[in-house]
Amino acid sequence: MRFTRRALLSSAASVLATLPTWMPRLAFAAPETAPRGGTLVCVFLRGAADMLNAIVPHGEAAYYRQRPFLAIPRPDDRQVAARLRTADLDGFFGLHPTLAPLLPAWAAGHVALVHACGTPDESRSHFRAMELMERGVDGDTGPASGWIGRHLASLGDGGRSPLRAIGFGTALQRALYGPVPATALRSIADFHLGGALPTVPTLPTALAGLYAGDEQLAATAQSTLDIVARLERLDPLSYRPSGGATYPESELGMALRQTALLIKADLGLEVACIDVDGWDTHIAQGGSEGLMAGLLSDLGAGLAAFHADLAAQIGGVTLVVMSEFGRRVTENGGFGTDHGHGGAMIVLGGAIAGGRVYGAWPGLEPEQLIGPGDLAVTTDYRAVLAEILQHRLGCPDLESVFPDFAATPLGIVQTR
Amino acid sequence: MSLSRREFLAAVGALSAAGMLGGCGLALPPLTPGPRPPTDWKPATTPIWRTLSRLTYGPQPDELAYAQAIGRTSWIEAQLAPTTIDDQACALRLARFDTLTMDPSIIFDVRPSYLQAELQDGAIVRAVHSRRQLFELIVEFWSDHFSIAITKEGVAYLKPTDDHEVIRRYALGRFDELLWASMTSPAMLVYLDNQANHAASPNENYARELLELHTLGVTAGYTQADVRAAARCLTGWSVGDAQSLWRGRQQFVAAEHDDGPKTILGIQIPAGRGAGDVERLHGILLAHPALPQFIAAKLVRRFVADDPPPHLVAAAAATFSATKGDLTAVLRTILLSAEIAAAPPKFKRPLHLVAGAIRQLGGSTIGGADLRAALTTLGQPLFAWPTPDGFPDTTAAWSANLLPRWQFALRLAGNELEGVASDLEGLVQASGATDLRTWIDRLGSLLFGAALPAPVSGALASTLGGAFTSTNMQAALAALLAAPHYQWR
Repeated sequence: MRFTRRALLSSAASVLATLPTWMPRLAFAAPETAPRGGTLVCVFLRGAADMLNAIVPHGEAAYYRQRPFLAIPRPDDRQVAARLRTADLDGFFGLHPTLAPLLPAWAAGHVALVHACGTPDESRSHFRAMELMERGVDGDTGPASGWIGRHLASLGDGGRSPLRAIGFGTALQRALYGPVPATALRSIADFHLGGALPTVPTLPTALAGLYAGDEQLAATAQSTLDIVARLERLDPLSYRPSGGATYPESELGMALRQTALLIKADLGLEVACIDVDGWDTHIAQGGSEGLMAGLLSDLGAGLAAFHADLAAQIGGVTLVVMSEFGRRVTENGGFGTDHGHGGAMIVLGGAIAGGRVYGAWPGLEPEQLIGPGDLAVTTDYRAVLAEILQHRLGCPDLESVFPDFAATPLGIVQTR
Repeated sequence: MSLSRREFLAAVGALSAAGMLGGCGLALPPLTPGPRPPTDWKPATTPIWRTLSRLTYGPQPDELAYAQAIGRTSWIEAQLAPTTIDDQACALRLARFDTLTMDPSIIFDVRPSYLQAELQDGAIVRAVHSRRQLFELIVEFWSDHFSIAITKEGVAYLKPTDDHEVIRRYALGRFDELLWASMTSPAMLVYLDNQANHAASPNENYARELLELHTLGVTAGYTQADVRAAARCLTGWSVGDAQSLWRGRQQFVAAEHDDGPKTILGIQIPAGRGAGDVERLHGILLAHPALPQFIAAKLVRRFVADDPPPHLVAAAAATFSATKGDLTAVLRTILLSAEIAAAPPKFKRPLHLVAGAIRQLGGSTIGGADLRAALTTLGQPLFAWPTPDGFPDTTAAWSANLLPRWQFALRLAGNELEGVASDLEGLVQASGATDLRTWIDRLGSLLFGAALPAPVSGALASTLGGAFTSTNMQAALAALLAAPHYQWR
């Protein structure tokens, strides 16, 4: 017998119908699980996203010179259809046309952009850069845990929700590594103990008994059983977004949709990590249309839906989009771009000073580039994250989260 | 099969139950032997159980009896000489996979997804069915040490060759040969971007990992300048040509090699040595005093404890130095040590859990999408760890993710995994159990080497409802496979 969503639903229903002894206790045990601060959603674009084509510096002549095939046309370029042009933001920067769904949130002051942003690491290695970025450190020394993991630890034992920190994906994001257990899941619909066996309702009790005797695993086991019980009550498959939001049918769309569900259910979610693959566009990257435009379209639609869906909760939510580094300014011979340096971050939330592009713009003229011809980094990614952690998530100890890093506040987030 | 099940269920008076027990998960291909549950098993003695629990994917009754008969030391020595162990039955199972040893000249016509599936399935089949169990564990170790993710563009074509020509070929050989094979492996060169490492634009990716992950370790005291010099030694080594997207064999393009003088770790390499630079680099790394310690500590961590006992690391490193990196000798030092016999349990990595469960139940597998997906959910998508450091090897990295383990236990006990055939009614019959409590105790000695303490098994039996129905038998099996006792090795 194959396991299906239908089987999940029926097994969840039967669990509810029989109300095993372990359910009521969990059903009414919620007070300690409310998040102490806001919720942070961290969307990581894996593969080094070409942010020069996402947040387009259309006021730079050099941008168009270096990218004869890949550049996104100027907002006033009458030679191409309007839908292919950059959506102007401030007369110098604009959004890739597929990110236009973000314009309402931008106008509401709920989207801030930080350009020429990134890590000081210049290895241009995905692994290296991602590792350092997720650990939140400058080099090989320093803690092996992740910056989010250390943030959670810095809060002491306040948040005890089993859903305090989750990572969408098959493996836990390194940023979440730390002493506070975080949970990796592909979909909250997969988080169940359903199965074909009719006796499954007794299994949680059996497991709770068996794990009670294992000092090292007992707490994790109990948290896991708690999550399973709570998600069964939530019935994630029947969730209807608010505000007319339509999430794209993609991994990102699904993860954002489920994050919104968890936020609305007030289950104590503090951090969610979402990975989006496919940004390593060495070949055939495309411009206003094509490979990367498809990825950006998914991103724009996903973020816009998330913003609309959480209109009532957005004041407590901050979402960041980041990538390990940016890409070379000059396009390569394969109509793609190679590994570069400076990138950009997108911050979306209800308590930010949005509608602005932050960061000092270093320029794209040859003498302004660094290394083999890359955008310089003028804002350390940690400056953005530190502000969010401190002012939106109540982090009491930034030094433990980003050791040896002195943040210069940009003023993107409002203090609580 | 269904007749015997019916007869059996009738015999134990359990026909009223759902009757889902046993039954093959699929019709296995004709050349694949079916499931063969153990016919008899006794509680094992602690030292032998612990040895096989750590040095195989899962102790089986016949292997335990054999190890008991010849003694722990002789059993380890035999496993350290894998070619002396007849493994034809496993070879027969592997014969269905066309691409594991396919020549690189034709492999590029195969779809990458097919290559990935066969490579993963092959590893699963070996872990479950090979009689050279220790060898397979050591192969897994080196697959992590020289980790290559088949998810990277182009790598799926190249990793099968790396698997048999580098990892499997030298896993118990000499480290210098293993390292050289890896340094010239197309899969490694492409995976760590050495095809983009040119004189005019050096790419340090491979050089850095070569020093940090493959040979010296990050604390060995080398500098960024050493990494840069190593990268320059490696310039010009690539695979195939750019037009064919790195499909082909490794090649040295002199025009792309940085032939200037270099200094690595204080040793000068004169200009003009061309392809000889990389041989010199290989020699310098092998001669570095940090190497034996680094390799020894990783092996001890894998086979003994998360925090490697310093004495044992020192002993293994001394063997490494004295034998010029004879890996069999190094492993002998580790595996015959007093420390391993007294080591605390280690948390099973997902492959260990999955292969061991099928193995210990006497199941039969050809791999398959369900098992590959289960391993992915469990956190160990084979040959697809996203970073070059290989799957983690400490309890902390794995122990927070229990739910997928429980889900796997449920699906295996419920016979829901395609590609796995098991014969649970045969197992029940062989156990001699006619009540749930005895079944739980007999499974305990099969899966953990001893029955659970009486209060625990009693509580489990009463939680499940007590009756000896086929669903309760399966639920008990699921609970024991999901139990904390089964997560440690």
